[in-house]
Amino acid sequence: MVWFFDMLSAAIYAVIVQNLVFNGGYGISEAIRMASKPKKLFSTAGMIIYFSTVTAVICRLLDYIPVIESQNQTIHFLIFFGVLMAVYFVSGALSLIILKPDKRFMTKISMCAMNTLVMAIPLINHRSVSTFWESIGTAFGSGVAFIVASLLISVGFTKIAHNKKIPEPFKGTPIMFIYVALLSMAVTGITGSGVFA
Amino acid sequence: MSQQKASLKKMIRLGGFIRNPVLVQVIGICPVAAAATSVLNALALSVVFSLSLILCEVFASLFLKKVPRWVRMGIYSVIGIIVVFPVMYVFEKYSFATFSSLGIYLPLMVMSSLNCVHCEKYAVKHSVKLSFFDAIASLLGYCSILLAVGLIREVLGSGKILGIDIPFIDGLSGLLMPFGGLFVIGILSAAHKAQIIKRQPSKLHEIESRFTLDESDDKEATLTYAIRNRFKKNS
Repeated sequence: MVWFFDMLSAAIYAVIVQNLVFNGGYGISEAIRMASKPKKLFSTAGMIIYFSTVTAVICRLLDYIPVIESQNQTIHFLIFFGVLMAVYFVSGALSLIILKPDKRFMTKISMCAMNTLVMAIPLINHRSVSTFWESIGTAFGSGVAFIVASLLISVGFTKIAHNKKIPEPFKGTPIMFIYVALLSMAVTGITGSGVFA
Repeated sequence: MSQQKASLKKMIRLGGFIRNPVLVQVIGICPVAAAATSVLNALALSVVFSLSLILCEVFASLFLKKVPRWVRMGIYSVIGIIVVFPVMYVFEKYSFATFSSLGIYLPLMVMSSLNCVHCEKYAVKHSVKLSFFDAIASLLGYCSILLAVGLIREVLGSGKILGIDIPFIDGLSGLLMPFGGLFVIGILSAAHKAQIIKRQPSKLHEIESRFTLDESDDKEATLTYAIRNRFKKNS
């Protein structure tokens, strides 16, 4: 059961403390986009979880091969990028054959796979020397963190719409950026790092 | 020739300033918010972004018009890696300080939504020349914000300018974190909107953000539309 708790703790850490969207800014454009379309959020997040988990698992397994493990960061990135591309093209081709989806679905797959959040996870796992189970937990947790981030931003939209005290130049996108910055600051505070040292 | 100049000027004004990729279209926020912590970092990112976007748009306009969209999206990233990989290799070997300070944000630039959105919205529908102009216009808008954010954060966050200490400024380390970047972008976005209101109020409708590649639901993807809709529902 140790493996399960390793995975679970990594996932919880990725959702609450290490929320990559707020803490690292990974996939923040996509999270903001999804916040304005909450109906599409869960399907998008599902695809992000799929791509991040599958890519992280393969990359972690490859990292156990001594020849790959001994390479520098640039070569590591190239290998991880290759893995993501392979996962993307295979998944895209399979879904075309099996599901026969429309153009929108295929565009959504592309937007989810070609995402900084998805590519960041194998690199972070490699840098933090995570175990296999921790890598899976981090990948899954990061997808959930994306949902949490989008929902929090989405809730803020309502409050922003109600607030008539916002000065005209700040209305719309500017206040949304500042709201996301405040959320990001709150999450950074949870990590315990000095916000204004 | 003068027509070309006028076209480029118009594209720069509209695509680079009025509908700025970062401040209005909310594209490619990750590197600006997280990695642009100094002028040098911002400059390095700008150079890589410029090469990557120009190459992507020209290639997309020349060869990818008949390729399915989902395949094209993968190809943009592959073009991105062709630019980013040699830069990473050189930085890791000869300028490890810059390589370290950019962290994993340098390789992540291959996944930037800036390439995908501009290639899909413009390059695959227009000629090579117009695609090149579009790349120049959006790069001017994007890189100017990247450099402005880098400068503000370096001065106020580290109390330095181009690595040299400024004696009377104590750095606010929070500004070097992603939330600091988002604050700076928010303030710049408000300043940009204020300028539009003051100088070109007729263009105000142009700065409503569009967040999607699906032209069919463009209207629903507008941030202002989403906020208005929420407001109607709640009241």
